[in-house]
Amino acid sequence: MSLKTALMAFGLGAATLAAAPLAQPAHAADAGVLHIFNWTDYTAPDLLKKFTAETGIKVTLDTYDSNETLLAKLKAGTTGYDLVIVSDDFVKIFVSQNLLEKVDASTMSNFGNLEPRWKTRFWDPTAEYTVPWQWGTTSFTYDTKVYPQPVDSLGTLFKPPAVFKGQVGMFGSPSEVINLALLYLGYPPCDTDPAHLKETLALLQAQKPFVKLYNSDGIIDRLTAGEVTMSEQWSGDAMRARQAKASLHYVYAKEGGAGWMDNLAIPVGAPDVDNAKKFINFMMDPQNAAIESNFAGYQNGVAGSNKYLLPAMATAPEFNPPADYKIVFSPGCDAKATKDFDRIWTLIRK
Amino acid sequence: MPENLATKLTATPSPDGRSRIATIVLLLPAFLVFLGLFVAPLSFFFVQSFWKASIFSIVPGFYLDNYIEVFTQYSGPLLRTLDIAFLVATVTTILGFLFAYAVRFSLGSLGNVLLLTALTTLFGGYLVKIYAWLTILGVDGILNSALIRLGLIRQPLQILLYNTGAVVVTLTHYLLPLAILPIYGALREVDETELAAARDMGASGGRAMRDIVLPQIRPALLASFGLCFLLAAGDYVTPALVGSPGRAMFGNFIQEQFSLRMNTPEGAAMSFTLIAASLALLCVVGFVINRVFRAR
Repeated sequence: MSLKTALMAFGLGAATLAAAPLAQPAHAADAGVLHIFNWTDYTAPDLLKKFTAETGIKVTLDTYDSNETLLAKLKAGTTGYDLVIVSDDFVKIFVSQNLLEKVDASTMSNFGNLEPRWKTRFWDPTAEYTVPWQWGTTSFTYDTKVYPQPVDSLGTLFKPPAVFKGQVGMFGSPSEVINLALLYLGYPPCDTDPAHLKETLALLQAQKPFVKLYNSDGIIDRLTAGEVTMSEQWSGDAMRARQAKASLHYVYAKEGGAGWMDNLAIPVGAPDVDNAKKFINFMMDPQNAAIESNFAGYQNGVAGSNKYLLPAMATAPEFNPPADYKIVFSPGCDAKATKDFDRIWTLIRK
Repeated sequence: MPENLATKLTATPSPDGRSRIATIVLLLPAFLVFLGLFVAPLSFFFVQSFWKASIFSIVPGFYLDNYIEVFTQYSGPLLRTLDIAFLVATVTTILGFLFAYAVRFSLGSLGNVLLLTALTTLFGGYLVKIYAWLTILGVDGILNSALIRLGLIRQPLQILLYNTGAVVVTLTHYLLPLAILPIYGALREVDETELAAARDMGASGGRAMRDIVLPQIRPALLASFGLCFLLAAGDYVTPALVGSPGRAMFGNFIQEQFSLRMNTPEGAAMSFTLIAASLALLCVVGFVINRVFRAR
């Protein structure tokens, strides 16, 4: 074979290989398939089986680890996903960037099952774009064997007793750490008042000698192993940690706690909007919502779902905040607050 | 010689010319891949470092804000990162040299087994190695358990993990095989008869190493040091998993700009600052190695 022929063959082969991935989209539109993109370990397998059994629609599930990953993926163009789960403080960002289809949940047959307080949410006042998936609180857990006194304040987390020196775990997310500190100090989330931020920075720097690490992953393992004896934590994770180690206690502080809600939404360009809407309606059924709560460990916002919960879940303190507990949802920080939070985050870890 | 024949002869490409064309043609695909997958993205990335980000959207333009931010806000983590990377690279290069030297000149057939063992660890995943050290150094870890069983301590030591020392140990373990390879390759080229001759002439082992071995393997030492330094300086997973909360490395801040903030411009500015600082430091190290280990 001559050099010329060999090179032509090489070029043709390379071009074919290079073009092959372009010949098909990420997910071809499939009438009988629903493509869901959700957080890792956050979708009950039994729920998907039940949906397939009832509707005949197969479900594929891909996972991500942050709202930012989801945002980047959707901004990059058509992903082939029919359903995504977006956190409350990101919904406005997704909507403003025209990344979500209107779902008009209020017209769906099961919409009436939503608890009245969740029918309108400030991040989606008319339920045009989203429907509740799971919601919970953020506070902290401590080991009662290490510190046997009762605790009712975020002050224990931010100004820890000496026994917690080098024993505290905090989240790896600037907004979750700083907003909880702002709540303790009595300021609103995403506050940009320089005096308030200075006070917050001082609080977090004073806390630093007590902090073992800033990391949102592996908290349950670290608490149960005793690597940390107090940690910022989400309510559902706190319940799972307590089930593994009975001496752990999730605190409902007098200052209140941060609230969050993950929401079902349909991305723009979804191949099968009809199937996605069927799933959204399916999720507003109390029995189905309970299956997800039993798996993930968080509240679901659907009235009447509690009677389908596992007994251990229904009575879990982490699942049932006190009636007078103040839950503060973040509106989603603007550019200035984000920059200010970044500065604080850098300074406490320099 | 007839004119047309002369023209034909001069027009015919010489074998040299033909082979040069063939070489260029054969190198072209690799060059295009390099251009398309390395130079082009990096150039675009550099241009982007002068843009601005605002709430998950990017504003093109020419702003120096990102670089100003890097030097005003992140100079501490940058210097600390270079410091840690320098320490890791130094320790790894020294250990790599000692290991490679022992394998090449002292251990005979056992050396080959040890070399194979060291290189086999390259097949283990990077994360696996980090988690291995978490398992060794953790509160319930192997080291604490052993110390308690031996009666040397009563309570598990908390200081083994989540500090700069743990980062250095973990990175050194991960990078050691990469340091051994180039040094061992260079040591294979060192003639043992030269060492024997030096000893016959009364040179001590240390003197022979300094005057004969080290000058010959300077490029390999620099390659090992450079590789380990650059990998350590850019790493963010190790400090995130085993590092100190108040002493994050520069890579952690870069990673956050991309994954938490989607602030590509600032992340790019930080990346290029790290590249520039690393290359500057490597030039200094290269100069020092060439001066200290030059042939005498």
